[in-house]
Amino acid sequence: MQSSLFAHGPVQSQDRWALQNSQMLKIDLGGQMRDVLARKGTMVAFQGGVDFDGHLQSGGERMAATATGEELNLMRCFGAGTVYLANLAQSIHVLDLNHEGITVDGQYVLALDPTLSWNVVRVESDQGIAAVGGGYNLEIGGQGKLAIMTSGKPLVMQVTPQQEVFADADAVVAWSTSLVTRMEAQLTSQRVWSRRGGTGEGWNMSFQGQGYVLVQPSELLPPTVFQQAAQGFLANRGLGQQGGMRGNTWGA
Amino acid sequence: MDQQMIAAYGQTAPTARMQAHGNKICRVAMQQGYDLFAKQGSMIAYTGFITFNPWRDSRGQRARGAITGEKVELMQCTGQGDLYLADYGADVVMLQLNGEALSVNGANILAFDAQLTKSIESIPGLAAKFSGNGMFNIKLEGTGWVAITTQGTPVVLNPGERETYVDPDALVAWSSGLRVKTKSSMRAMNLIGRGSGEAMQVAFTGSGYVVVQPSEDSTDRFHIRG
Amino acid sequence: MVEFRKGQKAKLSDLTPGTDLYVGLRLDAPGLTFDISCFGLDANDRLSDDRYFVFFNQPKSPEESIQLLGAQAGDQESFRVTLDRVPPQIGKLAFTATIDGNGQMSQVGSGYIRIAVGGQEVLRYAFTGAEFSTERAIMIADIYRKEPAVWRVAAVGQGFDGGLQALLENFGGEALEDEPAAPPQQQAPSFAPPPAAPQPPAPSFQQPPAPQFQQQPPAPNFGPPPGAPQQDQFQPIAVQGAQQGMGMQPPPGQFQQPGMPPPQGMPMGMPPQGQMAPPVPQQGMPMGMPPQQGMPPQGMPGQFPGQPGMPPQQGMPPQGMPMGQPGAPMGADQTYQYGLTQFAEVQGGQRWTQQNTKMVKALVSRSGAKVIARSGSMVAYQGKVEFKRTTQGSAQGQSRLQAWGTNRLTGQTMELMRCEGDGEVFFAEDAGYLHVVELGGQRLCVNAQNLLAWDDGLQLEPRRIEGQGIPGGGLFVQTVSGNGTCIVKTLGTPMVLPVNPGAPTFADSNAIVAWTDGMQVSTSTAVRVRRTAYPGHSGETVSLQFRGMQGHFIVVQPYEV
Repeated sequence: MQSSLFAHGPVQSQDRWALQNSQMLKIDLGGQMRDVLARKGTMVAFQGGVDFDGHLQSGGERMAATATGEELNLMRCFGAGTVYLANLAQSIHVLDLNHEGITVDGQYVLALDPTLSWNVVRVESDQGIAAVGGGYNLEIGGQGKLAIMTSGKPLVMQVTPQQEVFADADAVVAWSTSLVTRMEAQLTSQRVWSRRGGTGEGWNMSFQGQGYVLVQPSELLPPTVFQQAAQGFLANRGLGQQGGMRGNTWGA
Repeated sequence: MDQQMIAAYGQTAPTARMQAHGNKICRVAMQQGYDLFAKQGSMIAYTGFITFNPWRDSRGQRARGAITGEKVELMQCTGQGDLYLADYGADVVMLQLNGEALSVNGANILAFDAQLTKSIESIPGLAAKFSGNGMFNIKLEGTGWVAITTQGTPVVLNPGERETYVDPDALVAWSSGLRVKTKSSMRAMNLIGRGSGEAMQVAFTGSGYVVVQPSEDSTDRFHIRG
Repeated sequence: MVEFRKGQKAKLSDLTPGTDLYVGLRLDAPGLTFDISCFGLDANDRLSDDRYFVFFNQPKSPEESIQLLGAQAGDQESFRVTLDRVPPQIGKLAFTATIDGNGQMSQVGSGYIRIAVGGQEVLRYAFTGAEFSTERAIMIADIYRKEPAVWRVAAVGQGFDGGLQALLENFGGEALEDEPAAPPQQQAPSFAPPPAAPQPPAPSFQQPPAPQFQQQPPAPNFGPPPGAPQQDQFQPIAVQGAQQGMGMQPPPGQFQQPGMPPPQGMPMGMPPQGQMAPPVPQQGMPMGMPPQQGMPPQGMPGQFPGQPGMPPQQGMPPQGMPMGQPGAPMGADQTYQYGLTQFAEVQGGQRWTQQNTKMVKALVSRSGAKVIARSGSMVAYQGKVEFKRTTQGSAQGQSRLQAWGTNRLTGQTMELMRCEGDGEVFFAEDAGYLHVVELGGQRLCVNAQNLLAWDDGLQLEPRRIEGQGIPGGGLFVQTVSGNGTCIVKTLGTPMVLPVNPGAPTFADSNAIVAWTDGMQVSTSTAVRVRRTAYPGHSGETVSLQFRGMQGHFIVVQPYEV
């Protein structure tokens, strides 16, 4: 059999976390105490003895429900095998965190080392305008590896005291925790550019201080189309609210 | 943030009016006096001072249906700075018109320089059948930059080689000057089109090019068939 | 797998019996872009036939024994080399990388070349930038033959001062600047001829038919139109002087040289000056760009041909480097360039030609080459092609296919069409990645949703894998066999996972694309998976478990549907 497919064999790597390709993450669990937290529903394949535990909440730690009552969609993977993770063919990026804090939209976290510390936060303004898809965010600190996802190649914008950065709230994936964030709306241009309904018309986020903002080209679907299509689509594909689709496309 | 990530995905110095960042983000170097029309909601980030306003025609009315049909509204971007545009993960292709004309499916427009001449082009036999289905076209002419979106990497075909038939949903743009007509392939019996049950293709003859995307209509990203 | 060191050589047959090689390369250097090429050299290490210079503008050699595959599986660039088909006059395949733009090889953090056969890596030669200094190119490795059929491989790792052009000259390639017709796709405003139709360049643009799509001599293409300063191209953001520039610009008609096609023929390409031509002083420097004037043409891979054949007009020095927009080969994730040239149709006389990762072209002919495809997968066609509703195969298969047609899994009617006639049909669906699989008599089980098109004449056996917990109640699978080609669609870059005889391999039933026939397949709700704790759909998901002998594999996609 001949095919260009065979160029896509498993990547050999010494690293415990290795990108199989830009859309798939390979994690070598390799035994005790090296477990990994991964987003539920993202396992596409595994080899060897791997166990999955989705009851993180009862397992204690900080798995408290968020203010909205949402629970985190994370599961613990442990054992002695290799796990392949992917979600909706989104681009995956492995970050090595070394005590610089990063705030990530919860929908875009694919996997993280348990050595990292994290808090569930909700980003919203006093006016009740929820930023970043209205969902929960994770403030992640400490040392370890973190895998996040974006739809397509992302954009890293540098923020300096001289250079403020504005971004559409729904396109923002993550930012340095040290940044000052605010929601803004230009009075001169009402209702013009807002991407989706979820963030309030015409509002965008501004970032000030020193750090970086990670922006992605888009979510997978415009929410209106998605919502229209959602019912039939999900039913057709055997997916429901609990499916792997959740969050990533439901952002707004 | 991770240094590798910054190195890989950071901003670069602008070198042209429009520039790609990856294949899904278009970066526009905005300058005072050189406005840009962009699809509403396509701004994902910017730096500097840029304002966004609904595009109004000369009578001051919001020029929505007038030029772009029902689905796409344009905004006028004015100011100075770096503007980043994207359209829900579609691939972005940037072109520079140099006195030529280009006909783009309205759903595939991302942005274009304000100094370009724009007009609506309708295709005989197609407008009626595909109205409401994204089949309205904007013809852009003049000198300046255009950014169009495609679902997936496009392919460019030359009808000069052979008469070329394109599924309406996969049709993105073509060079003005081609002979365009519709063809109903009755033998196909609803089989080949992706659209609303019409086995209809757009036929092109003449010298030029046609841009075809490997997916269905971008106004309706999740087209549930049947 | 063998790790090679610089200078190490080995007989290829000691590493692998295979001759169908996958060669992958990667160079990590922040901010740099590389042009990775393969030179097919003759016995004297000369590039005596420039059709064997395989690079982004010429992605395959004439008989396709060397093919450029693009970025994949972690590699920035990859080639498929079928050694058996390399013609005897080609004695060496030299893999090289050149920096596109400014930079030097010492900036390279790390890099490697690897050779894989049948999905298994057999050789890897890794290097770092510390081995180099100011070189702008590197000859990484050679695959060469000692005797007609004995191939050897050598890790070269030798730096080279010049850029791509100097490398070409080193290999005795015709000095491209003397050949104005050498493929200037990077800049040609015309829709350049697809690179896969290599012809001696000079004659090619003298062919009268379809002149718009033929290479033009560079002078009309590249030359700034008389009276139009190059800066005009970027005038929209030039703060001042733009009006003046406007005024200087001739009407479009004057752009056309004699013999040029009408305007609509070639509007789209990027003239070089579009890439931020050097601003002249009186225009100021919008955006604070340093002037790019006077960069010598050599060492500018994106620039190489064409310019020298044309006297600089209006005293302008040759174009500088396009900054930050390297003329890099197109990879899945790499920066798109301007214009449409890069998306030109890939010509090819084969039955199936990959156009890009998401589109495939099939040739159908009156002499019998027909194609069966899922209806709705045709995006365009050229020529006289007819499409007929079909039910494939034998009477037995027919009824089964009708069963397939009302696939409860997806809720959509899956109808097939037979494409016949004389022409070319372009297939794509949902911007999914398409893969051409030549079966070669073997049998492959493909998830029905992932099978897009195939040669008429292949045998298909539909099957339904039942299993509690599989969404929709079952998985429809087509077992494809015979001698021919099928097109497999994946959402996202797939992975081919070899199955070990020792330990089972598990795949999410939503992510499985295909597997080799002959394995033991079972659903594994009971094995190690606690259903309530398991990811996904309300605890209903099961994994598929595969056990098989060496040589079997499964294909998984990073998208769960």
